[in-house]
Amino acid sequence: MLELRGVSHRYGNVLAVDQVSLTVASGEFFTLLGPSGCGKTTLLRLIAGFEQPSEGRILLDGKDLAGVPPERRPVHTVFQSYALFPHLTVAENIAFPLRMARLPAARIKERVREQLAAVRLEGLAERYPAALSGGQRQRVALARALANRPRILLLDEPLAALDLKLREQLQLELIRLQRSLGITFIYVTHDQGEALALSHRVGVMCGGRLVQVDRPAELYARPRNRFVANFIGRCNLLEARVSGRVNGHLVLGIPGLPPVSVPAEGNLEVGELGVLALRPEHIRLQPARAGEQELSGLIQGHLFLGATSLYQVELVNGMRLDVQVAGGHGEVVLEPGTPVRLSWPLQAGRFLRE
Amino acid sequence: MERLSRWLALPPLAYLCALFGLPLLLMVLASFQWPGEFGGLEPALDRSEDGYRLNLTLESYHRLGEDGLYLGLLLKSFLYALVTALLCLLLGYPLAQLIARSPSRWRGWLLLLVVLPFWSNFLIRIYAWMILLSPEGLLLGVLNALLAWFGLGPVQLLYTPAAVILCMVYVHLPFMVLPLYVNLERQDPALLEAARDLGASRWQCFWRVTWPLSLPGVYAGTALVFIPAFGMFAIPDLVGGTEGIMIGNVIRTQFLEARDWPFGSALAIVMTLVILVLAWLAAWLARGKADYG
Repeated sequence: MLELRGVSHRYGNVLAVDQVSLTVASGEFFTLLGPSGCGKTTLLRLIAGFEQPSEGRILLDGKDLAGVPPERRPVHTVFQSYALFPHLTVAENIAFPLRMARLPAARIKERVREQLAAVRLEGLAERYPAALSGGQRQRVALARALANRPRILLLDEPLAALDLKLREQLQLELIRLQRSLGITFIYVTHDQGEALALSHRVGVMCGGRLVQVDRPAELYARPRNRFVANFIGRCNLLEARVSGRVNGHLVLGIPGLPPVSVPAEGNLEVGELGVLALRPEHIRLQPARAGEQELSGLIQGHLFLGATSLYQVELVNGMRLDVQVAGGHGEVVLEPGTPVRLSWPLQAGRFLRE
Repeated sequence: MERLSRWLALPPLAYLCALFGLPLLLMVLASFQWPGEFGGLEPALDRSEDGYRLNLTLESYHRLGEDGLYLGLLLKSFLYALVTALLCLLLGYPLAQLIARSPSRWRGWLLLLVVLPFWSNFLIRIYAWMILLSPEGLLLGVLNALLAWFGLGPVQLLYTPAAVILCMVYVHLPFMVLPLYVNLERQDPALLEAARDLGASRWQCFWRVTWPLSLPGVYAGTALVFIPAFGMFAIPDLVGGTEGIMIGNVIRTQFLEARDWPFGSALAIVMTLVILVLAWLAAWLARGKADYG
C-alpha cells in the first residue's frame, strides 16, 4: 500500500505539487489524469525518488521513503522516452535490473526469457533498441521495468508516442499484464479515454492539486467540479445560481430560461453560484415526459460521428448546448433553424459549485 | 547531387595526393636508397654501359633491426605516448564530464578555457614550462621546500623523462577533452535516471551506462593524443635532456645532423606502420559503436 500524506513539491517559486494526499492499494491500477503541467509527472518522480517532497510524507507499506534513493526503492518506472540502453541488446536491457539485484546467472536467464514471452518479443532478444519499432521499444521498456517484480510500477505516458491502433492494443496488454502479475500500477496520462479504460481508480489533477479521486464510472457520472466535468468526456456547462429547494430538489435559476431542477447533493445554500452540468448523451430532442426537465431552442448545426450524431442547439437566452443522439444514419437530419424541445431525466443534471 | 559532391571532393583529394601521398611514397623510396656522400641520396637508378640498373638496398632496415638502440627507443617512445594518453584520459574524463554536466550557459566558457592555450605558440608554452620546472622556478621551489620539510632531498624535474611526460600531457589534454565532451554532452540524462530507477548505484550507473556509451569518444581522444605524442621531438628536445630522448629526436637528427636520409626515412616508416596498426585496432574496437542513440 502506498500512502501520500500532504505531499507538496516546489521548483523554485513554482508549486508543482500542492498538498496531495492519496492512498493506493496493493494490486491497484491507479491513474493520475490531468492536462500537461498539472504536476502529475512531478508526483511520479516524487514516488520514484528522483525528487524529494518539500513537505509531506510518502509511505510504502507503512515505511517512510524519505531519504531512500531511487535505486533502493522497490519502485520501477516506464519512462515516456522509454530510456532503453542503446549499447545493450533487448535481453541485456531486460536483464539490467536483475544484474543490479545480483541474481544468479541462471535465474536471470530464465526471468529474461519469461519477460520476453510476457511481452511477445521472443525473437528479438539479440536486437539493439535502434533496430526496434516504437511499439516494440515500449514493450521492452515494460518488460525491463517489470523484470525484477517491483512493488509498484510507475508509467509516465507510456503510450503517448504511439499511433491509435497500437495504443489500443497495448492498453489491452497492459491490463492483462497488470491483472496477471498483481503489481500496483500508477499510470500517468493526459488522455481521459485511456484513464477510464485502464484504471481501477483515477485521480484527476489540476494545478498541482488532486481534484477528485474515484472509480472511472463514478468520475464520469458524478464529477465534483467544473474542471473534472469538462475534462472527462463532453459536458454542457450552463452558468446557474441556486434559487431554492422544492421536494428535496434544487431549483436553479439561469438568466433568460425557465427554472431547472437538479437532484440536491451536499450542503448547498440558496444563492450559491455554479454551473448546471449536462452530458450531451443524456439530452433528448423530444418534449419532456413526466418528471423530466425541459428547455427549448433552435438547431444550429449537426455533426455526423458514425454511431451517433451531435446537434448544437441555441437556447432562447443565447446559450448553446450539445446534444448527442444515437443512430447517426437513416434518421432525418434536423436542419439549422428548426425549433426543438430538449428534455432530460431530472437525475441526469448536476449542479457544480464554482 | 551525388555526382556534384563527387566532383567537389576532387580538389581536396588532389591536394592530399600531391602534398601527402606523394611525399610519403618518396619517403618509402628513400628508405631503400643509399645515402649520398655528403648527405642527401644516391640516385635510385644507376646509369652504366648496359643501361639503367636499380640501385636500392635494405641496408637501413638491417641496421635498424640489428641495433637494439633504435628498437629500444621505438618501444620507449611507444610507452611515453601510451602513458601520456592514459594520463590525459584520467585527467580529461572528469573534466569533460564536469563541462558536459554544467549548466549550458557555462559550457561555452569552460570549453573556451580548455582551448585557450592554443592561442599562444606551442614552443612558447614549453619554454614557460622550462621556467616552471627549473630548479630556481616557482613550481619546483615550492615542491622542494615542501619535500625538505619532510626531510626529503631536493628533486630535479627539468631534463628528465618525467618532464617530457608532464609537458606532453599538458599539450595534448585538449585533444582528449574535446572528443570526450562531444560524446558525454550528447548522452541522454534519462538513461542515468533509468539505470538508478532499476537499482544501479551511482558507481554502477557510470560503469554500466556512461562509460560504455562514451567509448567512441575515449578511442577518438586516445588516438588524437597517442599519435602526435609518439612522434614528438620538440618537447624531449627542450625538457627531456639525454634521458628523455624519443624516436622523433633520432629521426630529426638523421635528417639534419647525421645527414643519413635513408636511415631517417626507415625509422619514420616503421613508426608510421606501428601507428597505422594501432589506428586500425582502435577503429576495429570502436566499430559500430558510433551510431548509438
